[in-house]
Amino acid sequence: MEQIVRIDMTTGEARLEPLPEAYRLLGGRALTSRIVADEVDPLCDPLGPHNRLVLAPGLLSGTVLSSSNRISAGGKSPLTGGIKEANAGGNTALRLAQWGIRAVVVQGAPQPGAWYIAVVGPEGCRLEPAGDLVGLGNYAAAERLLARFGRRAALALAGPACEMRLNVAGIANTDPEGRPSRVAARGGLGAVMGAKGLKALVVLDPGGGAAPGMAEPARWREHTRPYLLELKDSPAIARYRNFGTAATLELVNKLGGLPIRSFSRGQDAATEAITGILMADVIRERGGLVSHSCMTGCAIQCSNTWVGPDGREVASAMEFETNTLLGANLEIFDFDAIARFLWECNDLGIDTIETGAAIGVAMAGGLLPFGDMDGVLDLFDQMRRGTPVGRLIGAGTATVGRVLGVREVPVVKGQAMAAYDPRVIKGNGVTYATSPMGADHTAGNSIGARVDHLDPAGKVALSRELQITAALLDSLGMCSFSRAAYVPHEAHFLELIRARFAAEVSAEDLRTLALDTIRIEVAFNRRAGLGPETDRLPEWMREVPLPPHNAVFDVPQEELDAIWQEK
Amino acid sequence: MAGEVTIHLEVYVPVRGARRWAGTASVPEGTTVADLPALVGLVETDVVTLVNGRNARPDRVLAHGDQVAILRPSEGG
Repeated sequence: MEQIVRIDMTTGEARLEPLPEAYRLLGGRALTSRIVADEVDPLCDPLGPHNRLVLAPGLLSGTVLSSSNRISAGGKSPLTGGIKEANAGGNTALRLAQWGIRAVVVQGAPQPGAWYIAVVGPEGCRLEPAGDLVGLGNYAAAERLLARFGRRAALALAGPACEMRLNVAGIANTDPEGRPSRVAARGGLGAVMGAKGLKALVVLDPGGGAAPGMAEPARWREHTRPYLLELKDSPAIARYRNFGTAATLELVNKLGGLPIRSFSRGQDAATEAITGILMADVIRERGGLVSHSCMTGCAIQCSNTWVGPDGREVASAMEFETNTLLGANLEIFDFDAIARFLWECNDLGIDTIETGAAIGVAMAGGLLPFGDMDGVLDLFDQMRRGTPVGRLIGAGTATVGRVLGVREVPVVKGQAMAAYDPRVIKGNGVTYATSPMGADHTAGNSIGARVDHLDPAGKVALSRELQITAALLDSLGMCSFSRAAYVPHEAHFLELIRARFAAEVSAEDLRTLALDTIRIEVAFNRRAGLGPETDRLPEWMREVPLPPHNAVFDVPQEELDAIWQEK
Repeated sequence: MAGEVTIHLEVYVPVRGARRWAGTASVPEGTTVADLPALVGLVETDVVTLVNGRNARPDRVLAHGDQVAILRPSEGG
């Protein structure tokens, strides 16, 4: 029987509940958003006892089917004030689904200063005092927990930034080798975990390659094959294996939409020092991993490991967003510096996008100069120590802008934009403005579309379709990079749902599921006080031109306002 | 030279034994964006071609002085 784990931090009780029938065909984002909408008062304090943190594997999670084990985290965001879902790789979703756990709901609040870990295993779920784990960075905490519970356990960790309830805090999940480097990063859900006093969720390995109940195992095997062959043969997937996501940098730079010097330029020749092509070469020369699976069984392998000149691993994984927001955006065109920043982000448990954008605005506001690598390292140290300046950065980009008097702050609903300037990549501008998630490219990324990104025409329709597909993949537990293989084989995925749940589901049903999820999220935001007036890019992006195209964001607002009205 | 247009070309995929290539190139008048990968001799043909920093349609005819970039399609995460 499939179940929900409910952990009440007020009473210290954890119990298993049967999965309600209404949730049977919901997973990942569809399930986290539904539970949040059903159980959380939209007007509650995100860091108070009435908010809930929900962790849910995707609908198809629980086997080693490639790229199917994203873990969704959901709750009311302390950063946006609205509903949030952030998902990550690692093995948390796999392990939870192997135990038949479809969601973990964390509610209430502990006594001040009390910290716990929750352990999911054969006896269900139990809470234990976190003891001396409190205050540890994610790497040290992971080592201790894996030494105690076995290296095949999966961990979802609240790092020091979560303990400090910083808005930039995310939930760090361990990869197959135990690195706490797969962060459900966006929207400050790590701060919600911290506010619950939950230092870690430990999910033991059930052993024996356990898989969730499968109605028709032979049908499952048959219909995974076409998808796996597509992954093997697709040039788009091969590029992820060869370059990760990092080669997006040269594309967006040539398009003139790369955030440089805190979103003030869209192109810079200095980015030649941090291209994806060069990164792959350096990793190979130094003996790092150019490709790596962040979750067991993933054949896309977009992850990597960066090693220093001495051949020792520094951090995983160097990605486009990280290289841009913590590199080009700060005018730091140096992989070794970016890798050190990335390690700090993973260890503190913070979002590289929000942090990079916040430091960029801090530089624009004169707190430190652009290009100041040591200054950035000092800011990470200050965050770790919880100094006022460290907490300022940890409060996020919008707060840094307010404190330092910077007008040109790249946020929507208080959340920083990713590494696509919306004045050029206008489809992503639509996504930033209209997604209930705030400025989040993962909600509908248009960079892969073969369109004139500068032309505002058609971008609302483009973003809408991408947002629907993203919501669907987020609900199935599928990585967004599987989209190239998922879309042509959707019929087989319908068969996988049938094989797993003995349920007849049509493509139209899945589309409805995705749209309903987005509409539930929009409705939550409206009740939380985020009206249509918040579905806007910041005013300055319609007025301040971005070189070299000298572009502004000019998709008509009326079009944005209508995006979720049609069926 | 008559019958040719000169463009500035940057190629971010392997070409002519190099990982990257950039420079000035002359192409026959009437050359379109779609013609370019074969003309340059690319093995990797699933590419994005930008002309003057914008995604160009395959039937776009190259003009003198165009800044052309050929890159891998890629998506960040």
